[in-house]
Amino acid sequence: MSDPLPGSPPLRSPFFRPLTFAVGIALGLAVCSLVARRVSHESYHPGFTRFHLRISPEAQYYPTLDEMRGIVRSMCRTDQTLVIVGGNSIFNGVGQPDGKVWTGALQSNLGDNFVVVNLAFRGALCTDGGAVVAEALRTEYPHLIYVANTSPFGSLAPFGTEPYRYVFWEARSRGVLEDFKPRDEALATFARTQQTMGERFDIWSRATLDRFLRFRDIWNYIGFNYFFTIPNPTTPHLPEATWARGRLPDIEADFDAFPFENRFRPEIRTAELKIVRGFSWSFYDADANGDWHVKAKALADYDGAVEAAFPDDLKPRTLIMLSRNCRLYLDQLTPSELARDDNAYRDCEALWQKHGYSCAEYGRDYSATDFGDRTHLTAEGGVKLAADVANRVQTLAAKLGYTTPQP
Amino acid sequence: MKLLDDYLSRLPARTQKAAGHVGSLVLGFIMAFLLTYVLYRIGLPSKPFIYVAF
Repeated sequence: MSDPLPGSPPLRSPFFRPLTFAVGIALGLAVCSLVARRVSHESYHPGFTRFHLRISPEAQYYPTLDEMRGIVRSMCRTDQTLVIVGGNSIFNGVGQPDGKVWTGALQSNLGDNFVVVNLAFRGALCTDGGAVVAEALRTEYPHLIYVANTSPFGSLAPFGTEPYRYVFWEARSRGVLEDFKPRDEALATFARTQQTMGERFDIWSRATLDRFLRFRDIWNYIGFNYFFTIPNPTTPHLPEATWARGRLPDIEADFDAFPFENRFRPEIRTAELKIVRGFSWSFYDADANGDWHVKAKALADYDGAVEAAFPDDLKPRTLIMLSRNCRLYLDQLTPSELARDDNAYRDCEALWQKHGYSCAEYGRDYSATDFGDRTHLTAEGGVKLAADVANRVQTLAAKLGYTTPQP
Repeated sequence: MKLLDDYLSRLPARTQKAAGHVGSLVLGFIMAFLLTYVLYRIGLPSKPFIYVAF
């Protein structure tokens, strides 16, 4: 450091007090942290339906664990049965506009003793977002059921996937997750094989800092209620780019606004049919009679993943729905391909059940028009799904003894 | 800054001292607030997540 040049103004005011300044920083951080905890404990998402496009990671908005817990607390009393919906875009309700989201129909079917909270995200696994929130709230809500979708032999990291894994790190750093050996082992293997020391330190330091300072919570609160500062493709132009995210309505497109032929255009059909044909192909071998048998390694890998997906005490409270592809494509499979697909659903359903989960498939008997594309459902398809899930949730609630009033 | 310093230097000594502490404290608060923002921003990916259904 060199001294200021003679005659130049001093670098700092003679009235500046460095120690008081440092105290100010410390107090400021403490106040921000306290305010963040206070505002996140209760919801600042009035009339919450789901994390739609403009309040999701696609819009650089990353809902925090406490923000989601606050939403649940504002919607559900502890004497009600909490139904947290997780999973991917299908369960988020992509293609179903606000007011026609399938979880609304699920809530109507279940009645006032149940409260449905949709915490599913586009491209998420059944172990992401809502799953972490369910685990974090397991003691606060003794009557809790977690519902999520996945596909047979689908990816199933017990600590979630990017870009939603941050919720898992948040929950882990705050000590709100259970110690669960299979998950811890999977995490250790992942850290050893997939992460550098730098990445591990980065995740640890950010999660630990945020645990104390709650900078994500305070700035999500400001971004949702006052002004947003992150450039994102969903609001590319001023002044909308800076608007509070809470001002922006859910603009999810309605599949029903598009004619069936437009939703399933020939060029799309060809590509989608390839995906459907390959859906279970890599997990099965055919014997001399043409009967399909699951590959031992695929089954063993999936078995381990299902075991590690949720802690043991949450398994009986979890309902996994295996998503079928649209009938339009299933009808074009050969009988052998369809038999292989059916085997995959049956085998995976049995595997989830073996580990203590409730599991069922849906969509096999839905009509092609119940689908907006290969996997997502129209509002009408969502109503069918809601009826299906409601029956299973009620059965599960009765099995878990939730139907009797809590003391 | 110079205007503020000139103004403060005309005040009684005790007031100068108190004003210096209050100003420094407020500055610390502002810095803390900005620090939380920096931590929030550097934690975000440089590009938003793009969802593709398979």
